[in-house]
Amino acid sequence: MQTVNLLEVKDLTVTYRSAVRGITALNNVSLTIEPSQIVAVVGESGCGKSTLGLGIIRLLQKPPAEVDSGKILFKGNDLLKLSEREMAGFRGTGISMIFQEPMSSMDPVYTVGNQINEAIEIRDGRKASKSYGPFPRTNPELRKNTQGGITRLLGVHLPSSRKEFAWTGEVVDVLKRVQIADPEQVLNKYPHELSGGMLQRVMIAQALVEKPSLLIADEPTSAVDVTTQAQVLQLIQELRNEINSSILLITHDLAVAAQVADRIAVMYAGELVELSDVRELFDEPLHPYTEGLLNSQPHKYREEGWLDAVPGDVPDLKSPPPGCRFHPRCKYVLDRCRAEHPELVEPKPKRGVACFLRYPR
Amino acid sequence: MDCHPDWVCTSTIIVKYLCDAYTNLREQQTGTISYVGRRLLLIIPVILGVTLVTFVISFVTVPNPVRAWAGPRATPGAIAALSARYHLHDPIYMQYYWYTVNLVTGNWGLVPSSGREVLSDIALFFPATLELAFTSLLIVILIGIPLGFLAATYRGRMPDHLIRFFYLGAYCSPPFFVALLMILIFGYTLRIFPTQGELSASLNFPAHITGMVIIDSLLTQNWPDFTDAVWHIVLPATSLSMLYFGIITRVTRASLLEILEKDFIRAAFAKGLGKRTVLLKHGLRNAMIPTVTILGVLLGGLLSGSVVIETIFQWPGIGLYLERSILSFDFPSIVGVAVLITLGVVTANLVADILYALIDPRIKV
Amino acid sequence: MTENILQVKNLVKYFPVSHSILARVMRRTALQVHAVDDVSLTIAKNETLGLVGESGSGKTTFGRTVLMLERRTSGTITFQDQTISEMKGDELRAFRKKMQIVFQDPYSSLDPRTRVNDIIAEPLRAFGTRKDAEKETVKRVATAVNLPIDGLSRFPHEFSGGQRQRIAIARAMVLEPQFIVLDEPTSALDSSVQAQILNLLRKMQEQLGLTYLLITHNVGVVRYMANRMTVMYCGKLVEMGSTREVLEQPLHPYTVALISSIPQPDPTKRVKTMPVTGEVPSAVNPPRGCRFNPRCRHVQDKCRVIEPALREILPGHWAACHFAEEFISMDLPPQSQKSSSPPSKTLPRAG
Repeated sequence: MQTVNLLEVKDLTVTYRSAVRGITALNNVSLTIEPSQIVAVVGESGCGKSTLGLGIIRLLQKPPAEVDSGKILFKGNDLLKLSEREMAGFRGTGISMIFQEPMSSMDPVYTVGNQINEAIEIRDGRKASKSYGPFPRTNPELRKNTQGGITRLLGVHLPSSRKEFAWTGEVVDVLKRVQIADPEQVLNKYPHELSGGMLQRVMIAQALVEKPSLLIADEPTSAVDVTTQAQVLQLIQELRNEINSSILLITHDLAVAAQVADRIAVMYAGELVELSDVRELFDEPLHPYTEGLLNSQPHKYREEGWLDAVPGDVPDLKSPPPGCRFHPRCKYVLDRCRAEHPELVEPKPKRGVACFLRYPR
Repeated sequence: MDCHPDWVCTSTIIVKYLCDAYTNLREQQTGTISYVGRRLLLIIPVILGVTLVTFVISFVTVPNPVRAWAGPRATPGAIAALSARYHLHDPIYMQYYWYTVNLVTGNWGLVPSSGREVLSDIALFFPATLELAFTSLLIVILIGIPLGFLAATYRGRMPDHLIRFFYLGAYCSPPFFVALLMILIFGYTLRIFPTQGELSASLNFPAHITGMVIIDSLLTQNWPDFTDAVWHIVLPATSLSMLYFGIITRVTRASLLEILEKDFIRAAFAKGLGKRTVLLKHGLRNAMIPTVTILGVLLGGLLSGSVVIETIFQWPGIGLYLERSILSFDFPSIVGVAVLITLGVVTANLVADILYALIDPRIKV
Repeated sequence: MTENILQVKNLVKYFPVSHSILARVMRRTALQVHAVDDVSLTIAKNETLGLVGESGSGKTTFGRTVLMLERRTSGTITFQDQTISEMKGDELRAFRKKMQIVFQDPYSSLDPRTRVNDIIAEPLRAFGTRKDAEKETVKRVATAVNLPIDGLSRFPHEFSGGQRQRIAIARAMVLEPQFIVLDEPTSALDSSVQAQILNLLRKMQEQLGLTYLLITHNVGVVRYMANRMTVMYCGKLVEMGSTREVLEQPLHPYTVALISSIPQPDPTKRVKTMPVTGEVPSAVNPPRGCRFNPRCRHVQDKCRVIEPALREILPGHWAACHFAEEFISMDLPPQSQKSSSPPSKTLPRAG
C-alpha cells in the first residue's frame, strides 16, 4: 500500500546573497513527510534547519534569500511555482508555523482573544476584512458588550473597556484544551501581560483552531522552561493524534526530538547527513556527526568519566570545508572525505546517510 | 523689607498636598485616570518653570523693566501706577509671586500703544492661529500618513522614490520660500486660491462663536462665508504643513518598515492572513504609535511656526500680532505671545504623552 | 578534611518594583520582588555545587549577590572564614581576586570594541601587574583554554560562540581565583561545543583546585559537573544533597516534577504523564505557606499555611517539604531511575 506523501522536498537549495558573497544555507536537501507523522529536524546553529522550515512555508526574506533550485511538493502542488496569493491560500489551514519566541510572535497591540479570533476567521473562509482598520470589530457572536463608538474610532485602549468582551464558544474551548486555566481572563489580556509558556500554548491553540495538515514548529521549546517544555511537547503530540496533522519539528535538542518524533533528520552545515526512524537512530547512529551529538549529551554522572566531545567548531558557511563538510572534526576521516562530497545513500531500508563509510562496497 | 510668611506656609502646604496626590495616584498602579491625573499634576512644575523663565526675561534681564512695561511714551503718573500694579519695587521673589498670580488671574498687562488688555488682544487673534494649525495638522494626517504608508509598501520601487523625493524636498525648503512659491504659482499665475487674509473683503465675518471663521460659518450655516474661508485657508495651511510632511511621512515610512521586519508579521502570514489584512491591521496600527506621539509634539511646532506664514499671508493670528507688536515696541504683548506659545507647546507635549499611553498597551498606564 | 570555602547564611535580596524619587522622598514602601528569600548553604573547597532552577527562581540573582555584585538586603556571606558581606571598597576588592564569574551569554559579556588579549588582560591591569608578566599570563591562560595565541589580537565577534565562552573563562581564570560562579555557562552554546566547554571546566578544576558554584536550568549539566546539587524555587531552596541522591531519590515534589519533565535522548523513555501544571508564581507576591502549594499534586491544608523549613530527611539530603519522608519509598517515573547512557558506540572503521 502506497502512502501518498504529504510533503516532498526535493533537492532544495537556498542561498543568502549579500553584496560580498553568497552563503549556501541549504544544499540539495530532500525530505519527505507522510500524513500524521512527526519528523524532527535536528542540528546546531547554522545548519539551515530554520531556513528549511521558512522555505517550505515560503516566508524567507526575499532580498537576501533565494531559492536556487528544487521542488517542494505539498499534496501534489509545487509550492515554489505558486503565486503569492495562491500560497497564502495554503498557509494557515494547509501549512502553518509556530516560532521560537512566543512573545514576539503575537501582535503587541491586540488582545490575545482578537488574534485567536483571526485564526477562526481564516478557517471559516477568510472574512477577515471586518476585523482590521481603525474600526476593529470582532465576531459579533463573541462580543457581548460594545465599546463606545468614539473610543473604537480612535482605536484607543481604555483599560476599563478591555474587560467588556465576554468570550464564549470556540475561543474559550480551544484555550481549555491547551490547559489554560481561566481562559476568559487570558483572552482579554495583551501578549506582554502573559508569560512565555502561556503564549506558546496560545500559539498551539491557534494551530488547533486552524487544523493545518502540516505544522512547522521552529524550536517551540527553546525559549520556555523545562516544565512548560514538557507540556508543549505533549500538546504537539495531541495535535497529531486528534487532528492528524503532520509536524515538522525543528530543534537543536536531540532529547526533545526523541520524545515526540517518528523520524529524525540530522542536518549539518546546510546539508542533510542522516535520516532515519527514531529508534534506529538512537540504537545505531550511522553518521559520525550523529554519534558525536549523542555522545555530547551530558548523560553521565561526574564520577563516571568524561564526555566524548566532538572537537572543533561548526564551520563558517561563507567558506565551507571542501569535500565532506564534517571531515575536519570527524574521528573516522578518510582521504576520500577531504576531496569528494558524499551523497545521501540508503544502506538500509528507510535510512539515509551521507557518509563515505556507509557507501556500498 | 516686608516678607509674607503666610505665603511660605501656604505654598509648602500646597506642594505637600500635590506630592501626596501624585504618590497616591501612582500607587493606585492602574487605570487611565491615574495616568492622566499624574501627567496633569506633573504639568504644574513644568508650567512653574516656564513662568520662571518668562519672568526672568520680562523683569530681570530687561534693563529698565518699568520703562519696558509702560512703553516709550508713558507719563510719570502712568509709570507710578504701573509700578504699583506690578509690585516692581518689591524684592525679586515677591515680584515673581505677584507675576504668577497675575498670570493665573488673567492680568497679562496693558498694551502701551493701545491701552487694551494684552489678554483680550490675544484672545482676539489666537483663534485664527488655532484654525491654521489644526488645518495644517489635518492636511499632514490625511496626506502625509497615507503617503508614508504607500512608500513603505512599495519600498524600492517608483512610488517610494517619488514620495521620498517629495517629502525631502518639502522638508529642505524653508517655509517662507515655499509660501512665496505657492503664492506665485497658485495665487498670481493660476489665480486659483486667494493669497491674503481669512475672508474676502466683500464678505462679512460670521457671528463670533469660537472666533474661528470656518467653524463659525459652519455653525451658523453661512455657506458663502464658509466656502470663501476654506478657499482662503488652503494656501497658508499647505505652506505651513510642507515642512511637517518631511517628518511625518518619513517617520510613518520608517516605522512601518521596521514593523514589517518583526516576527509577529511573519507569524501573521504563517497563520494564513492575506497581505492586505496584515499590512492594514497589524502593520499600520503598530506603525502609528510613534507617529501619533510625534503628531502631538508637532502641534506645538505648528503653533510657533505659524509666525512667518501668517506674516506672509496676512493671516490675522498671533504671529501677525507679534510682528506688529515688535514693530511698535509693545513689550507686554511680545511677552504675552511668548507665554502663550510656550503654554501651547507644553500642552501639546502633554497630549502626546497621554495619547502614547492610551494607544500602546505595553506602556504601564 | 573538607574546609568550607563559602558559607551563606540567611541571604535575602529584594528588588523594589518601582522607585520613583517622589515615593522615596515620601517614604512610601514600594512593592518588592522577593528574588532570594532566606537562602543558606555552604560550599566545600574543590567542590562543584550545582544550583538548579527555572527562570524566575532567583538563581542568577543569588550567584551575583554571593559575589557582592548586588547589594544584599540582609544575611551574611563568609568567604574563607572572612565575613565579606560587611566589607566595602579596597577591602572587598582584595577579595575579588579570589572570586570570579563566568556569564551566560558569550555574545554580550565581552566588550565588542576591545581586542581579546585586552579583554583577558583587563583584570590583571586592574590589579596592577607588570607588563611583561601580564603578557606571559595571558599567553598561558589562553593556551590552557585552547585559544589560538596568534588570533588574540582580534575582536570578539570574529570568534565562534564556543571560543567566546573560552575567552570569558580565560578572563575569569587569569587572576588565579579560588572560587568561580558559573552562571549558565553553556546555555547559549551548541550541544557539541557544550561538551567541550564542560570538559574544559572540569579539567581546570582538577588542575587548579577550583571551587565552582554552577548555576543552570539543565539537569544533565549538573549531573555531569556537580558533586552536590540544590534546587531553587521562587527564591527558596527546596532540596539539597549529593547529585546522585537528589536525582535518583528526589524528596520534594518540585524536584520530582522537574526531573520527570526533562526529555531523555532515548525514544524508549518518553514522558507519559504531565508532571506539573500551572506557571511559576510571581516573585512579587509569592503564595502563602509552601511556595509550591498551588501546583503540587500532594498538597495538604498544612502546606497552604505553614512554610516548610529545609530540614535533613536523610543523612546529607535536605528537603523543604512537610511530607518529604513519604517520598522516600515512592515510585518514581522511569526517567529519574538511573543515568541513561545513550549508546556511545564507536562506529566500525571502514576497512
